[in-house]
Amino acid sequence: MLEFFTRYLGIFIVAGLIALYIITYTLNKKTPIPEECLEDIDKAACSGCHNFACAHKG
Amino acid sequence: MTWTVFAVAIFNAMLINNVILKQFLGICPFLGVSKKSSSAVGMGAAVTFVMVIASFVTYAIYSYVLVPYGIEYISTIAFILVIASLVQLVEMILKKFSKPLYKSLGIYLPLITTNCAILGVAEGNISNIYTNYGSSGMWLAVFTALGTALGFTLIIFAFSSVREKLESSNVPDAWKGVPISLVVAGIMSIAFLGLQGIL
Amino acid sequence: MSKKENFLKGFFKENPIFVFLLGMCPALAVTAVFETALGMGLLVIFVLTMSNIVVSMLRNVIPNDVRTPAYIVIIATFVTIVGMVSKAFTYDLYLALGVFIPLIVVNCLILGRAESFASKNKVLDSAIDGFGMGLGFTFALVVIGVFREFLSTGGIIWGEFLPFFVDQPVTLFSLDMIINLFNSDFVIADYALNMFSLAPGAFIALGIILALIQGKSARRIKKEIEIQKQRIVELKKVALAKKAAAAKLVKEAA
Repeated sequence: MLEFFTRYLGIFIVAGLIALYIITYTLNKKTPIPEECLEDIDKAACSGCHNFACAHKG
Repeated sequence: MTWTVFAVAIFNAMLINNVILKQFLGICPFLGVSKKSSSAVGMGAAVTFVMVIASFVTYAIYSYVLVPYGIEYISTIAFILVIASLVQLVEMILKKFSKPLYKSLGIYLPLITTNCAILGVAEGNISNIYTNYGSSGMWLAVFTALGTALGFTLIIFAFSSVREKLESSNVPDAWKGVPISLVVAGIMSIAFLGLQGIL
Repeated sequence: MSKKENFLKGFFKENPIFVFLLGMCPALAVTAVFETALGMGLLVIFVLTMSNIVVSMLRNVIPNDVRTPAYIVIIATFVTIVGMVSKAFTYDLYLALGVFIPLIVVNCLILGRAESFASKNKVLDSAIDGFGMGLGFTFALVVIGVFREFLSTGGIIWGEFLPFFVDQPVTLFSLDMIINLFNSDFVIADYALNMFSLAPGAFIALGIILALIQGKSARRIKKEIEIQKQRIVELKKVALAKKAAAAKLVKEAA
């Protein structure tokens, strides 16, 4: 059993981290933005990479 | 390690091997966010906060999990996932518990996941510090990250001040916007080249 | 959009570096020498094409809410593969690119194409788009690399980092060869602008190239505006003439 775990440890770690990321991502999406900050977010919008479809805008 | 090692690490990472002007990391926010000095400072604070925590966590994961089991090759995937979840976590906590902090630096956090400076410092710590010091270099890595982030903030703030003046000056059409900014960055980089070999 | 247009748009119309300013970090960092720029471009072509294909294949499977994490994982997988391959076959290139190989993960270009193209289009189209965009990126990197290497050393060398086709580094082109015909004790290295191989030169070289492109497009836009203005003047003239003719007709009728 232990041998099985250590052999595939890399896969388990990556799977665990993916799960962690997805959980934190969805939890963060669900947390509402404080109302008084809503207008500041537009100000912070980055024009660095002229990426019209930046994943962090939507 | 004595305190001088840490002081040298901070000075080296901040001024001599400056993250923007020497290592070319984090050019996107450098060109994009630095139009106003207030947002440059906010971005710098967000980067400092995330970079220090991220390099601590990634160094710990690398030296206590990946190396003992011989799976260093997944370090890139592991690091980007750790950094991305860390950013989400920090953003969530700030949203929930500290509105003033969220207002000043939280709004820049979504831009940081794909900021190459964070991942670049985490990877650089492994290749420069871990190969020399092993797992005992943890604090050195944290201080290097702190110095790098301070250097980032310094340059992005100085550059935004230059840029505010540049907005109102009469620049030829061909050089307006990014080209003149790059040349200004080049001139700043020449100034920082003069610090080479101080240590 | 036809397949050919889809393929060619990455070169000039939607060039990732020159037009959209995506992926500026590698454009500045690895272009001191022509060869490292080309090597970086080849790695990006592979990652971009493969990630576009996989994202496009999975576009109906990935839930919309978690698409960013999914894209990042897919891209990171291919970056790891590319890192291993370059370490095995072109070790000098691997050392020269250093931290910029893992940093392909956070290149805005790749995430942007996954988000804006591959997640909405069929597999073949996405593969063509990825390949074309990657070629455009490589083209831009090579332009910057040639510019900087030529200015900093006076020549172009092949075979130092990409050991293909040759056993020893070969000078493809050098100003020495031409000038030595007239003056045999001339060494171009004494007169080369060494700054362009250092950090400041990267910023300034990219600034010069972007200014050339921007100047050209500014001139074209100016021309187009002038042509349009002329057309408006002509149309006005025609309209006025018509009006006058109509007024004349009315007068004659009266």
